[in-house]
Amino acid sequence: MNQHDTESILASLQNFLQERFDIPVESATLDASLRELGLDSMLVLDVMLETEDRLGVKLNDLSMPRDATVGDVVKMIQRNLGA
Amino acid sequence: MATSKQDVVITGMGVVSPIGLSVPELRESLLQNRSGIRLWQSPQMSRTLPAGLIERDFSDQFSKLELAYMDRCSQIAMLAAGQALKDGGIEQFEGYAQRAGLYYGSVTGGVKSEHDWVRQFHVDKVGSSKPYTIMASMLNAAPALISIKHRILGPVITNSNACSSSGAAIGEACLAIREGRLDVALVGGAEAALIPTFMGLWFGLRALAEVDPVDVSRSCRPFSSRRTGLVLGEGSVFMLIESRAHAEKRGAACYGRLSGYGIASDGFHIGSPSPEGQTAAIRAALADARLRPEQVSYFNAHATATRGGDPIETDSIRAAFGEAADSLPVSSTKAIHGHLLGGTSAMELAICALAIQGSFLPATAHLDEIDPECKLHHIANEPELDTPVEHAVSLSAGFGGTNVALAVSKEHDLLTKFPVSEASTN
Repeated sequence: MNQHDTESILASLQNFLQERFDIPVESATLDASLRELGLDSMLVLDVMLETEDRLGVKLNDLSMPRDATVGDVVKMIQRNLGA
Repeated sequence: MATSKQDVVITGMGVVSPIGLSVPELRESLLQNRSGIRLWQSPQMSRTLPAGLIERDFSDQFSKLELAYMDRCSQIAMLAAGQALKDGGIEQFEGYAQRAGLYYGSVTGGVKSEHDWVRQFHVDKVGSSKPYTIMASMLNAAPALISIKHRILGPVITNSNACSSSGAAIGEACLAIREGRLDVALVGGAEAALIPTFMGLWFGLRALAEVDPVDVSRSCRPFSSRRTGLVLGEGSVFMLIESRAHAEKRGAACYGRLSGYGIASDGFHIGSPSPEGQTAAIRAALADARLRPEQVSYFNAHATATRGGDPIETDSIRAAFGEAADSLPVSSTKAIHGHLLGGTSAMELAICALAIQGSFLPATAHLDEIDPECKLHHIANEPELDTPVEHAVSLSAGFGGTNVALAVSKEHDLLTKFPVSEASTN
């Protein structure tokens, strides 16, 4: 399993969301809406910055659809990784 | 005095302070003269200091999603505001549209968040902050968060003129209601700045009290010949105020009427007060409340226990009250709660309202030796109980020279409100 596959990125996100914002791992599924999890644009930005640190990558393209889901974050990270 | 539909009455109060985490607790501390002055220390400062500390972490009252945006200042403000609104019986204001406002005073706002970031920048060499740190640091973070939670959609105004910040905020809200621009307003202030960098700023001024060698809780001694300086405190006080017509319509009881507001500036010196500005503010509040000096039953002085400030305020009180000053009961309750800076006017106005509601005169604690330069009719050491208070006046004098006096009067037409222990932050 490579650390940039969907499952690994999702697990990393879930851990961070749990640590930083007390969002239960089981709530942060791929189809969970960020808004419904209580994450506004600034908190999502925090997630991005943390992801850069944790994965040691630079996210240049942060664009995501409206009312994005956790899955959209995973896709955005993978897009930046060229995966 | 004839009543007016536009009279402004206080229908809710909330307190998070060194001498009580609710209005009933504050009242009890005043009656018992219970000091909230405790020992403050930090590994970053060699010297210990007395401070009006609230020995309680409030972060367990909020989710981590909320806490990202919340400095301690916002936390205590949110809690005190919540108490006031629950007590007042209005917690959501959407239906008022722009006829409900929030007027708030603070000196430093989210200063801990800001200074923590400065340390990260300079010491930890972190190049960019968390995305939300700028929001948490803002002076107006607390009122913003309160307005969002309670849907206050009219003016949400942050006022900062040092130690009279919340006083001016309350006064201006009072005018907005009287002039018919608002039906209701949440008013108050907050400060949570007991952090080493801010304490060091004050220490630099050489204005802070020393720790009393016998009992730290006795370190703040306004008007005493043994005073050694001011004692900083933290806390937040909010009130729900509204027009008499609005209170009558919804059958609300009240603590009292916000009867007078006077504001005047020294135009003198950025850090030293002058009696003329203070006197003018007191006179303006009396005129606004249509009170003669001899009608005032209690005066809550600003008196921070500095060597220079207390005698100047004594002169101001004497000038404003004339012959009536000899019999005017005066106290500075800062002796037990310390100086709440942006929250202090709101705190001391709440104390005046409780004095009226409970018929007692709060005391200046630790006043065994009155400074001859501060000769007034002091309520020294023990509160005077069973003493009707018809009109009370509180003065706040800020660095920069902005002075605010607020008058609160007993309300005879609306139902009187008594503090209930339900709305507490414990």
